[in-house]
Amino acid sequence: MNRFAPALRSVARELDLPPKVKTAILMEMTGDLEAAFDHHRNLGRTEEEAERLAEAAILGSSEMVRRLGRLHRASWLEWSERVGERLGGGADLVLLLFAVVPMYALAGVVTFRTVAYPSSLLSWPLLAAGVAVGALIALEAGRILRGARGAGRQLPLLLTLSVVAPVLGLLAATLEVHSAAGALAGGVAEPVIQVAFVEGMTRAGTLLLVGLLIGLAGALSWFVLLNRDAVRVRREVDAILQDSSHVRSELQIEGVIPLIRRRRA
Amino acid sequence: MAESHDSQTLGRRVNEIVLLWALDRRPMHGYQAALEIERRSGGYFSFNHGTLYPILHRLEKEGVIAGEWSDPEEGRARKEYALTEAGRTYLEEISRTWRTLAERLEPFLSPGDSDESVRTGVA
Repeated sequence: MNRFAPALRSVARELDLPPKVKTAILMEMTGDLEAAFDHHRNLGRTEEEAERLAEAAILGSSEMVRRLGRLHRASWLEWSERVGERLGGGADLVLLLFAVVPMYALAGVVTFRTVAYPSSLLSWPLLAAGVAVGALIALEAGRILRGARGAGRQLPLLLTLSVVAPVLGLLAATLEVHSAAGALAGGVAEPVIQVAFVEGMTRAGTLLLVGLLIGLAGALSWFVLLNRDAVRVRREVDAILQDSSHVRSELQIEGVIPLIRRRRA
Repeated sequence: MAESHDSQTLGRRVNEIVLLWALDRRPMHGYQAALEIERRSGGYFSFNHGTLYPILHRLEKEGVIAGEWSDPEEGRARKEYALTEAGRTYLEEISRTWRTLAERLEPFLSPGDSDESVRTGVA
């Protein structure tokens, strides 16, 4: 059990922040509380005294909690975490399996067609972005589900690439439309113009579709993995905050209502 | 650029300068930095009652310092802060501002001096 659990629970209740941010703050405080406790114990203070001094130095007042709340409020991230919290019970994994995997597979199939067009200048960067998005999804899914070290670190990069891919797709499509229009004005024989124009339009559509599919697959994966990671990190803090039985029984003996209620088995 | 010196800004700048000084020496955890500052100042500066985290987190958001979690395989994960390049530049800037402030304030800290000596800056 963690000796600071009751005080940390009180801070946790006051901190109105997205789960992942709140968890990170509580974990930082836990580490520092323990360091402060050890420091005061090494100075010869009693356990109770060391505990009190550590809490005074690290946890502070409601004003500190309010200031931290104001500092860390990021509305879009908060929204995504709160929505993700409601997607419990494996719904997120269903989303990952039945939306992201087919979407990415379709992007892969269409990409092979894109590679066959040598004139598409931006098809290679788009292909590279697609491969990077796929690799990042696989890497982060593996790390987060295993609870491995460094899990979640590449999620911002995944989100960035998910935005870059549709932009590349759009740029590539615009280039294709531009060259098809150029062919029209080139004064070539009519049947040749028609073939070139249709090919150009097909290429433009394909590149745009690939970009959009990669972007959607990446963004959905980012959303699911972000929330899986938040759950993983929150469990670590739950282990600290749910300071178990013996503090709870002490509180009950003194007639104090326990701060958290456990679900009935 | 003229720097404002209202009491709130002064207090905030003092906290910033001592924290950045500590983190400039080596990367540290929040509490380690607070202890280092307390030791260096002979107990004059202390970060009590939760003043530490709002400052650290604000500086991290501004990119002046960077927080990194230590390896969870070596006990509990701890967040360690280090000064960034932008932080080093910022520390130099505020150090310069504070030296100037201390120099300008000096003539006003001798109550026995005549008005004339204060005006001319002659001790």
